[in-house]
Amino acid sequence: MRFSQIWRLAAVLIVAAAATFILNLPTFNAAIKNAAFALLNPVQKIFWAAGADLHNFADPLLKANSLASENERLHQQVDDLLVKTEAIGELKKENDSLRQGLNLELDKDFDLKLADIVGKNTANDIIAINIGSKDMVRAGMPVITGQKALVGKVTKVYDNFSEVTLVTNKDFSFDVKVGDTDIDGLIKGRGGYCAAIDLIPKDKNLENGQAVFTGALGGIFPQGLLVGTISEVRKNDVQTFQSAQIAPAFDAAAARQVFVAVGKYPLGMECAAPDGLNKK
Amino acid sequence: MIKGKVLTILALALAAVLQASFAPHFTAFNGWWFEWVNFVTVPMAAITIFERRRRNFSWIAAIVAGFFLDLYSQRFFGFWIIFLLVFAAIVKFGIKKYVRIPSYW
Repeated sequence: MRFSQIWRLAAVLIVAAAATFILNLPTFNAAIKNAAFALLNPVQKIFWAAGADLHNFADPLLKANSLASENERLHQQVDDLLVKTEAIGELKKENDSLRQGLNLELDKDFDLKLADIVGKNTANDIIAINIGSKDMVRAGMPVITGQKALVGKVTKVYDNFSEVTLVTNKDFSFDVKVGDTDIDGLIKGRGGYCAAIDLIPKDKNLENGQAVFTGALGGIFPQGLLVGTISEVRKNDVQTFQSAQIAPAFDAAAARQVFVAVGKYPLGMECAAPDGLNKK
Repeated sequence: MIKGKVLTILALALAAVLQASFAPHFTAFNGWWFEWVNFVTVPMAAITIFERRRRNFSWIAAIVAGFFLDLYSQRFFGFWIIFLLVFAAIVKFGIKKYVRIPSYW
């Protein structure tokens, strides 16, 4: 390498070092980059948008292989969340039932066990509940709702579940009292979630919408539980007594939970009259 | 000839902008290697390798390409200019001494 070439190379290196130093001075560096970005900004915007669009278009295609597994994973996640939502819903319903029970001070009158309805026998008006002898449930115990409405009575008890015969069962009959009147009658199940009150003297005035409560005579249920309301009065000149169709207070189609009255009164006897619904 | 050089410089600038604005959307360009082998360095290498021996455009191209890379780089300003100049010098020296390849530039 000749001497002049060495000087030339040295001069280039010095100029390059000086240029690098100047370019890296904060103010100079910022000014250069700022000017360049201002100049290139429109082009950059176009390229950025194009890149984003192409990515949005191409990404699903590139990931096609993993879509199936991702779909499966998301389905699994949805299922898990549905289960959790269902569980939360159940807890809310249970909470509501308990609140209703507590608000009506059912616990003052009865020892109650909350039970979930787990099955229905529509042919015989029987429901299955998820508590049994392990929960101190015994045959003959009344089953009520949180609103002190009569559901029926426990007829079969198993270790972990029980069968409850509804008041609308064809074999069911017990005495009732209409509202706050002195009208007593006998209610009979008709099946198909229907019941009728019978043996009411014709001179007694029955009206649609009157509430019907359990009476004190039969000894099957505590007095004062709401059975239903009169939906249709039937009387004619030929029959000695009049009858009325009852719309049960317990909605078997919609109900999810019931209470079993497991104690605090001798079954069917001397049950203190609840001071709620029967004093209307 | 001048027109071709101007177009090449503009193309290098465009490549730098592409690299900064377009490529980041794609995972294929997210590797560490893309900093070194990218839309600017590859054409720059091609220019250097295929340039006729007595031409010196690759030095100008190295400075311009390095400048645009430095605009978007987190390294000190001038790093890419120096890197590409050194790269061009090594390539040119190696080709001059040891390689004979057809040149089209």
